[in-house]
Parts: sequence; structure tokens; C-alpha cells
Amino acid sequence: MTIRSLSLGVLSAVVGGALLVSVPTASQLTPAADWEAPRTPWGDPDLQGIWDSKSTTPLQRPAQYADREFLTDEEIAALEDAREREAREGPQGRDVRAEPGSEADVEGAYNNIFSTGLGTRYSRTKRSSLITDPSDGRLPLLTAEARRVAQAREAAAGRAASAPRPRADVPYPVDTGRAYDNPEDVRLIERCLGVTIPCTGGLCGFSRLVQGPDGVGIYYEQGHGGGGYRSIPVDGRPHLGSHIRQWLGDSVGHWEGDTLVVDTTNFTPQTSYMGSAEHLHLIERFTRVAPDLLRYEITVEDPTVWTRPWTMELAPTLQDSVQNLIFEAACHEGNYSLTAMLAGARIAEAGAR
Amino acid sequence: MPQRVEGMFGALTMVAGLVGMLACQSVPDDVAAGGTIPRLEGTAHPDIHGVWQAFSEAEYNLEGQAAQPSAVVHPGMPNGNPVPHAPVLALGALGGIPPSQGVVLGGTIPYRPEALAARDENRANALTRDPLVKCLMPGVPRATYLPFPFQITQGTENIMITYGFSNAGRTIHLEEVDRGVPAWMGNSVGRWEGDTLVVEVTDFIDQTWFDRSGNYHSEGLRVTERYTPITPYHMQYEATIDDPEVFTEPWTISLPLYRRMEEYPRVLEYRCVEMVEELIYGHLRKEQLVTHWEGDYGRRGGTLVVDITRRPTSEDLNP
Repeated sequence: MTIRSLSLGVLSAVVGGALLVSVPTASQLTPAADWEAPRTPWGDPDLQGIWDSKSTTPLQRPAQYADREFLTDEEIAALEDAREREAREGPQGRDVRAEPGSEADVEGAYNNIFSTGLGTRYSRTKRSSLITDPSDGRLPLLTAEARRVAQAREAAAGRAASAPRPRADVPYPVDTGRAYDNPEDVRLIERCLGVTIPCTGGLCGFSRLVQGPDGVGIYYEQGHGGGGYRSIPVDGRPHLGSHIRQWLGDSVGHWEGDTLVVDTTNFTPQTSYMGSAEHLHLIERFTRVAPDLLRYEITVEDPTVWTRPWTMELAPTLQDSVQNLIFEAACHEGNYSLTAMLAGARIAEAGAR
Repeated sequence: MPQRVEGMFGALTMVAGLVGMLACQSVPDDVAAGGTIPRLEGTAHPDIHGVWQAFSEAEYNLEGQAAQPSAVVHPGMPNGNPVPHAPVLALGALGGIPPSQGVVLGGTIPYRPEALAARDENRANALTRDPLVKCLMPGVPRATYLPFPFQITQGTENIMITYGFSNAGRTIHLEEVDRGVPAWMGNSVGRWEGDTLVVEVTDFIDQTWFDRSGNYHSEGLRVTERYTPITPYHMQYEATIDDPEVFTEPWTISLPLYRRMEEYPRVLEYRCVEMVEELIYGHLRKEQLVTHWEGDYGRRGGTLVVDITRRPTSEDLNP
């Protein structure tokens, strides 16, 4: 037994003690003392499989949990019950059908598929937020420049609000006031431009990880936006030259003990993760902590957007590989919507003249 | 026991070698004996992880052809002289089609007569019908021999292939799984037969082509691929196409795949969706970028009549 696994054992014992009173005080994603991660034939921890990162855990800690890093099992059970009830009975539930043929019915048939994208389960991290650092579970302050950009964006959105207003008969937000002059005006997801990372939860819930000795491949299903294949070399190579920019950036991986650490830079200015584009720097850490559980930490850094780096922790769960419920995301191949949106705007203009 | 396994691999490698030779590819004797192929660490299987590419003109026409000046030629020229037509004229010599010897074993694809007529019609309208023009997924086997590299990530339960073109990819299952729904890239289940990775690909839709020359299939397509490492640096790729609705009998293509030998090869993104937005949606812009655009190019063909003259800029109008 190595020193490292000994210390993990001690930690697990502490966690075990905490569980008895059902108020966690440390990460729930620590391997059990008597458990060893499965290994590939070449000796690395085996991270392969279909992983589901969906959870209802909010990104930022809600105000009512103030200084509490973890929720109790009872609180989590209550949240999951409420969520299940909402999914079953709420206005966006799959079983709800508006008057057949009505606009709400037609639009609902589409939106209901995606509206329960977060699922009903709370993350097995039991944390009050996905964010673990800063310790208050909240996003760090934006830089002055990022605040200015965000305000300008809000102002622009306000100016465009001449457009369709929310309708009482449609129980979810309808599109508000974006221009449809050009395909470039439309959101990336509706143009089917494919996955951007971090890709977690919701539409990005399912991913498949395949692992070789020199590299890892990840497929993100991201059904509606077009899936994405990501190759992560784990062979000691440097990053691409900084003039080569990609939607998924440039990822290189290495092992730190039993954790796969992936460093990603070289993002294109066209991408946007919460306002961060070409200066985005991601450090992801994948650790197999149980037969059906990954600890997946993502550190997000962009000194042009946030005043300090921040980190979130997810607990993707292993899905049945025989059922194989992960699908090809052929978004662009079936994107009749963008044609319809643009054509509809041209028809509306012609009618107004 | 390990010896018996090795002996079996040896025999199968010989068979694979013979198949390779029948496919007009010479296989060095020492390699056919299985000596130099690297093994996936801790397993008896060949290590095929890495970046590969077909250096072949198969993408232009599986059956091979003499060089052509362009994908679209001007109709009605004297003596049928092939002159590039407007949509590709500006590309000049970069828009030509290179000559090729063909990769179909036996030389010709055994089309049913009515299917051959459909292929020829596809070919005559390739610029508007070829799904790749619109950045749709290439399907199998076309993804393999596009002029783009692809990454093989070799796991123990799955092998993932990531293709440069259009962010396409697929997962080859080495264990039996539920097949799922039809897909542009099909569903792939593979097994090792000695040193050959054999992949059965099924559950296609009928919208992909085999090349730029209109060779096509129905949704009944079944593809059996064989990846046989020959040296550490190349492998023989064979794909047998079975689709009774379109072909009188199964037929096979065979071509080598080469390992990219740069120090750190990688498959960079060719996310072509945004590259084709002007082509697919340009006629729906509020202010069109060209002076004249007739018809809806559409997603499944249609008529493209484009005057590629640039719109006059305000500078042109008010010099």
C-alpha cells in the first residue's frame, strides 16, 4: 500500500464517520479504503465508459445555504422529490399536452424533449453548488472590462426588444428580439456549430470516454447542438502554436498519480463560455473514485474575464455500456430550423412592406 | 496457452497477407510473418492508436478516372470540350480533379442497371447532390479516404475514430452492445481476427455517398471493414459493400492507410458547418452578398444558379 492510498484510507474513514450523522464535511468523491480503481492492461486507472454528468446541483451556491458547503441527505432527498414531482406534474412535464394542434402544442412537442435536460437527481458530491473554489461557492468577480462587455450586451438585448413578447399560452420563454438578418445572427447552438467545452450537464449530459495508452477520446452527445469528438493526447507533447485556434481548443493530458489532468488552451475567439473566449484556459481532472463514479474537476481561468480562477466539481455516473444509450448527434444534417427562421424573417419583412 | 494463441494469430496473419496480395498490394515476407507490428501494451492485439490518412484519390472516384478540369463543366462546348463552369471557374487549376487508378477490386462497381442510371445522374449533378458539399457527415467507408487525417484511440472495449472532416467520428464496439438507431456514420461492431480488425457497420441512412462521383447506396447498406497492419507505419484497409437493392453482388475496395509521421501529429478541426452557411443560407440573408441568386439550394439538392459577381460596394457606387 502506498503512502498516498494510506492517506486516502484515513480520509475515507473520516468521511465514513461524517456520514453517520449525514452531514458531509469533506468531498464525497474519495475512493473507499478497500477499493482500487480498475486498471487498463497497460496499468493506468480505467476511465472508460459512458458517463452522465447531469445533476440539478446549481453552479453557484444559493443564498439560503450561505456558508454551508454540503447538504444533508434529507435535504437532497427533498430536493429530488420536488424535482420529480415538477417533472411529472409541472407545466413542462412530458406528459402534459396542450390542445392538439395549437401553437403551444407544436412548440411544446419540441421543447419538452429538452426541458428536463438536467434530470431530477442531485449530484453525488452532495455539495450546495458545483463551484468548490472560491470557498463561498460563487463565481469570482468579473474584471472591469468583462463588466463593461456584459453591460453592453444587456443594453443591446434591450434595444432589440421590439420583438415577439412572451405569450401567456406558451409556458416557457419564447425567443425575444434577436435579429435574423443573417445566419451569423443566430446562436451557435441553432447554427449547429457543435460542442464547445466545458460540456457538462443538461444537453451535454452524456459523454463516452475511450482510453488508449497514448491518448483519450471523448465523445459528447450534446444532442441538440451537434455532438463533438475530442482527442486528448497523453504523450508529453506541448500545446499547438498559439496562432492555431480551435473551437475545442488544444488539449494535452498527463497523469498525476491516478488522476488524468487535461490542460486546454488555444480556443477560438468565436467560442464563448460565460463570456470567456480565446483566453480561456481549462484544467480538467478525471479520477475514478468508485465502480460507477468519476470525480471530475474543472478549473476555469481567464484573467480577462474573472479576477481569479475558479473550480467546479462534478460526479459523472457510469451508464450501462450494453444498453449503449448514447447517440450520434446529427444536428446540422437535420437543421431545417435555421432555414425556417431566416425565411420566416424575410417573409415577415415582405409582409410589412 | 499463450503459445497456442500466438500460433493462431500467425496463421490468420498469413491469410490476411494473402488477401492483401490478391488486392494487388505486395506484403513483405517478414512482415506477413507478424514480426514488426507493435502490440497494444498488455494485449496480444496490434497497436493501431495514432493519426492515419489515406493518400489516395479514392475520394474522387472509387473506380478511377483520367484527370478532369472541374466538377462542373460548361454545357454545349464545341466537341464536348470540358470547360469549367461558373460555380468553380474561379478556382482554376485548384478546382481540377486528379487522375486515379481506382480502388475497386475487379475495377467496376456491380450496379443493378437502374441503380447505375441513378449513379450517373448523381454524377452529372454532383455539385448540388454530393452531401459533403453541404458539410453533411461522410458515412463509412468514405470517411476513411477523405483527404483528411483521422485519429484512432484504441481502448479495450471500444475503439474511437475521430475524423478531421466535419467533426465526424464513430465508436467501434469490441463487445456486443445494443445497436441503437440508424446513423449517418452507421453503428460499428468490431472484433480481432488475428491481426486484422474486422468491423461490421450497419444501420445506415441512405443519404451518404461513397465518393464525389455519385456512387451511392440504400439504407440496406452493410459494410465490412478490415484493418490489417502491415508495418508499424501502414495498414491495408478493405471495405466490402453489401447492398442488394443497389448492387448485384458485394464488392470490395482496398487501399493502404498510412501513419502520419510528424513528431506530434494530430487531427485539427475542420468544422465545415460555418463554411457552408453562405452556400446553404446565403439566399435568405436580408442583404444578399451576391448580385443574383436564384432558387433555394436546399439541403437535398435543388438548382443552384449563382452569379458570382461581387455586389458593388458603396465605394464603387460613389467613387
